Amino acid sequence: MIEHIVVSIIVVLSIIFPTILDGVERKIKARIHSRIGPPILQSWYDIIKLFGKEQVMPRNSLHAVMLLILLTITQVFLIVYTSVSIIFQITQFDIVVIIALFIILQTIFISIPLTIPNTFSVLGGSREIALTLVNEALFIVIMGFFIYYTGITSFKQLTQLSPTVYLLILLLALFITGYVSSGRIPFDIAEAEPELASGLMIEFSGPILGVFLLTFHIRRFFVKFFPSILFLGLFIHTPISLIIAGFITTIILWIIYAVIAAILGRSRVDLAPITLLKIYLVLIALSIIGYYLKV
Amino acid sequence: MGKLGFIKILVIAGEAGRVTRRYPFKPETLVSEDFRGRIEFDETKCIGCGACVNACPPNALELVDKGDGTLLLKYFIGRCIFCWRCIDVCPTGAITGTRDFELATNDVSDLYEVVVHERAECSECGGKYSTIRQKEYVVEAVPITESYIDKCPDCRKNKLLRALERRRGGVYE
Amino acid sequence: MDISPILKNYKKIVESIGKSSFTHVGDTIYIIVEPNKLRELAEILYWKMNCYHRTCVGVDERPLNGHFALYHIFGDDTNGLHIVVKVYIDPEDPVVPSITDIVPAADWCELEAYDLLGIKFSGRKLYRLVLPPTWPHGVYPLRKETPYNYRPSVKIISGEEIGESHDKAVVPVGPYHPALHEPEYFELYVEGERVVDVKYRGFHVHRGIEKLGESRTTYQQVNFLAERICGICGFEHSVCYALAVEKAAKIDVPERAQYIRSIVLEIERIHSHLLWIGVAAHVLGYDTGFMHIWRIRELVMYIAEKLTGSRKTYGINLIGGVRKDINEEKKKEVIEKLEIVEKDLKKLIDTMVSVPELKKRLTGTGILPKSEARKLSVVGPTARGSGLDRDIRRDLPYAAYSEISFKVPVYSEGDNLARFLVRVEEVFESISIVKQLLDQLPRGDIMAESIEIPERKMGVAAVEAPRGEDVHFIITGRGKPYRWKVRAPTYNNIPALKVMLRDQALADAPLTIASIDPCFSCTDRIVVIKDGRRYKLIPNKGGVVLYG
Ligand code: SF4
Ligand code: SF4
Repeated sequence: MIEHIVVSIIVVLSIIFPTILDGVERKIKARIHSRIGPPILQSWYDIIKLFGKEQVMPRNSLHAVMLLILLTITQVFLIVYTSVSIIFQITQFDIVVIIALFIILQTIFISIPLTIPNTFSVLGGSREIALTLVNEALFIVIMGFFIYYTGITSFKQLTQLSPTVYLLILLLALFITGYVSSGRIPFDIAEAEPELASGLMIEFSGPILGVFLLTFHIRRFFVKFFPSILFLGLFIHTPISLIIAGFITTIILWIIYAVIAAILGRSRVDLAPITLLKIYLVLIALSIIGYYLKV
Repeated sequence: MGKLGFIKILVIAGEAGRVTRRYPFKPETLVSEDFRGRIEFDETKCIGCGACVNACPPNALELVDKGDGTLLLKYFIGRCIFCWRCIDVCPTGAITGTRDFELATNDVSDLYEVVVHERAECSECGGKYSTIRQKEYVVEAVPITESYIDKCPDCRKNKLLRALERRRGGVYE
Repeated sequence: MDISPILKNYKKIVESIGKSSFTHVGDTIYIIVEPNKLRELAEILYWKMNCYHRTCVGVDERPLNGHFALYHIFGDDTNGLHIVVKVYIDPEDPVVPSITDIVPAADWCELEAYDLLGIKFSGRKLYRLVLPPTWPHGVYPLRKETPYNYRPSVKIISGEEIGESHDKAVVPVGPYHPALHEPEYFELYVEGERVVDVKYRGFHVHRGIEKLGESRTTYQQVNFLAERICGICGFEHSVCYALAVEKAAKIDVPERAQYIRSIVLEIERIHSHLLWIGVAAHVLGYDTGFMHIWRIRELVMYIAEKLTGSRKTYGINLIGGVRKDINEEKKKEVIEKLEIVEKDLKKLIDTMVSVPELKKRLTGTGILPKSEARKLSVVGPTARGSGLDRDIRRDLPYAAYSEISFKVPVYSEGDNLARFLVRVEEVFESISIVKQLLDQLPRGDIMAESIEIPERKMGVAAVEAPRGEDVHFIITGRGKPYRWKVRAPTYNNIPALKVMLRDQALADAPLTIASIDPCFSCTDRIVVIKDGRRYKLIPNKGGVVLYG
C-alpha cells in the first residue's frame, strides 16, 4: 500500500516539480548574477500565463504541432513508466524500454524544428542533430556497456550490484550526457545566439509554447533522474528508499547543474561535439580497462 | 587557480551581494541630488518674456497667443529633455528644477503645464502686446521706461518715425 | 613638435598639382583644387602621404558663391593635421570625379552627397544610400531650397519583394537584432555553418539631424541635438560640434572647462566600453559576466549623474565651455568610486578571460587584416585591434588631452580578442586619465566670456569617441550653422564587417558584428553592399515606384 502512495506522489511530483526546479534554477542564476531575480514559482506563472494567451498557429506548422503533442505524451509516459518500474517491475527489460522510449523522444524532439519553415528553427534543429549524433548516440553506447558489464535490464535487478570503479566511470559519463541533454550552457548551441537563432521553438507562442516548456522541464528532470537511480542503485537496495533518494539527488543535481551553467559561456557547434566525443571516449576507454582489470 | 579561474566568479558574486532593487514595489530614492528632472513654474514670478522658449532646444516650451487677450506659456513634458537651459536663462527665477522623473501617465493632459498671462493693451491703438506682468517688470527694473511702455512696439515705432519726420519738417496730419 | 617642414612638404605637393590654393590655419590645411586634379591629389594624400580619409562633405554654396562644393577631409594623424580638400562644382551640372577606387573609404560619403545634394560622381556606380526608396526623385534634402519640414507625399501601392535567386541559404539578421538591438539588417549567406557572403542594409533611422541643425536650431541648441546623435557616446558628438564651432569662431575656452569636458568624455568612454564588454559576454552566452560588468558600470553611471546631472545625455556642454562645475567634494567621491571600479573590474576581467568558451570563441574569429583596415580607414578599437596605431586624443589633442599622459593599446592580431583587449585596456587607461585630470583641475571660469560667431568660417574637429573618431565639420552661418556635417565612427567601420564576416562560422557572426561596437543610429544610412539589387523596381499603375 505504502508503495502505491509513494509512487503516486513521485509521479505527480515529477510532473509538477521540474517547473518549480526551473524557478529555483533562475533564482540561483540570479544570485550568481548578483540580482534578486524572479520568485521561485515564476516558471509556473509563465506557463500559466502562456496557457491564457490566444493560440496563433504558425503557417505550415501542422506537423510540428502534432509532433509536439506526441513529444509531450511520450515524455510524460516515460517519466511515469520510469517511476513505476523502479518499484513495481513491469517487464524484465524496463531499462531497455526506457532507453528505447528516450531515443524515440529525442528523435521527435529534433524533428520538430525541422518541420517549421523558418530559417532559425531549421538552423537550431540542424545544430541539435549535430549534438544528438554525439550525445544521445553515446548515451546508447554507454547504456550498452552498462548492460553488458552487469547483465541488468530492469531496476529490480539493481540490488544485485555493488559499486566498482569501472561502473562509476561509466555512470560519470552518463551524468555528462544528462547535462548535455538538458540543453544548458555551454551546450545550448541549438538555442544559441539569442540574437541570431532565437531557439528551436521560435515560431511557437501561447499555449503551444507553454506545453513545450512544460515538456522541456520534465525532460530536464528525467535526464538527471535516470542516471541518479542507476547510481544510487549501487548503494541502496530497497525500492522505496531508492526512488526517494533518487528524487532528492535529482534536485541536488539540478542545483549543481544550474551553478555550472551560470559560470560558463556558450560553446560553438563545431567545437562542442568534438570536445564531448573526446571526453566520452576517454571515459569509456577507462571503464573498459577497469572492467578487464576487475577494479 | 589557472585553468579553473572562472570559478572565482562565485566569490565575486558572493562579495557583491544582491545589487538590484525591488523598484517600484519599494519606495526608494533612485537618483542623486544632482539629477535633473522635470521643471516647475512659479506662476507668480513668470512674466511671460519668452526667454526660456527661445533657449529650449526641443521646443518643449511654447508661447501661444490665444487671440483673446491672453498669452499662454505652454510646457509639454513629452518633449522636454530635462536640460534645464530654461532655468539658466529665466530672468525672474520663475522656473525651478525638480528630481521628478517618473512621469509616465495614461492621460496626455497630465503632460502639459500652462501659465496664463494677460496681454498688455496699447494705450494708443488698443492692440495687444507683450504681457502686463512683463510691463510691470520692466518698469520696476528700468523706471524711465514708464513714459512709453504703455504703447505697443508698433505705435512706439510710429511715434518715433513721426517725431523724426516732424523734426525734418515733414508734413504731419 | 615642429610641423613646418611638413607644411612645406604639403605646400610643395599642392603647388606641383597646379591651379590650386593652399592655406593653413592651426591644425587644418585648406586646399582648393580643380575637379580634374582631385583624383591625383587624393592618390598622393591617401597613399603617398599616408593620410586617412575622414569623410567628405557636400555643401550647397549657391547662396554664397553660386556653386556646389565638395570637401574631402583627410587626416594626417602622424603629424596631427586635418587636410580639407575643396572642389567647386558647377551648379547646373553638378558632376565631380569619384575617388572611391583610390580611396575605398570614401564610398559611403560620396553616395550620401549624391542622395542629399544631388552631386553626381563620375566613374562609379551611384545608388541610393540614405534616402528611403519612396523618397521622390529630384528632391535633395540638404539643398538650401528644400525646407527642413518638407514631407513627401508618397503612397505605397505594392511592395512585392523579388528576391535575387541565390543558391546559398539566407539567414536574415535584423532588422532589430544583433548586438545592441538597433535597427539594421544583415543578410548572411551561408553554406552549412559558414558565412560566404554578407549584405548590409542600414540607414533605417536617418533622422535628418544635419538639416535640423542647419535650419531649426540655434548655435547653442545644436549642442543638445548633437548629443542625441548617439545614445551611448553622445557627449563626444556634442563636444566635437562645440570644438568645431570654437575653432571656426576662434573662441577661447577656459582651461577648466576643457578639463571638465575631458573628464566627462573619459567617463563616457568607461561606461561605453563596459557596456560593450557586457554585451560581448552576453552574445557568448556568458550572462554572468554580462551582469557583473553592468553592475560595475552602474557606479560609473552614478558618477556621470553626479558630475553632470544625468546618467546619459549629460547636457552640460555649450559652445564656449560647460554648464556644471566640479567641486572638491565631488572630486573626492569620483576618485573613490573609480578606485572601486578599477579594483572590481580587474578581478572580473581576470575571471572572464579564464572562461574557456569565451577565450576559444574570441581568439581567431572575425579577423580584419591590417591592409584592409588601412584601405577602409577604419577607426577606434577596430583600427587599434588590427595594428593601426591611431588615436585622436594623442594625435590631434583636443580639450585637455595634451596635459596628461596615457597609453594607446594596439594589437596586431585583428581578431575579436584583440578588439576585446583593446577596450579592456582603454577602460583602465581612462580611469587613470580621469584621476590625472581631477588632480590637475585648474581653477577659473567654466564658460568663455564672450561668444561671437562670425559668418562663413570653417572648422573641422575630431574627437576620439569610444568607437573611434567622430568628425564634425562646420561652416558658420547667421545665428546657426550654415552647414554641419557629422561623421560617426561606425560609418567607417561597418564596411569592414564584410571582410570580417566572410568565411566565419555563423555562430560567431553576432559576436563579430558586435565587435566593432556598432552604433547604427549614429550611422543611420542605407546600403546594399553587394553589387546587384535585392529588390526590383515595380512601377505601378499609379506611377509610384517602390523599392528602388
Ligand atoms: S519669466 Fe522665466 S519662465 Fe516666464 S517666460 Fe520668461 S523665461 Fe520663461
Ligand atoms: S528643461 Fe530643457 S527641454 Fe525642458 S523645458 Fe527647459 S529648456 Fe526645454
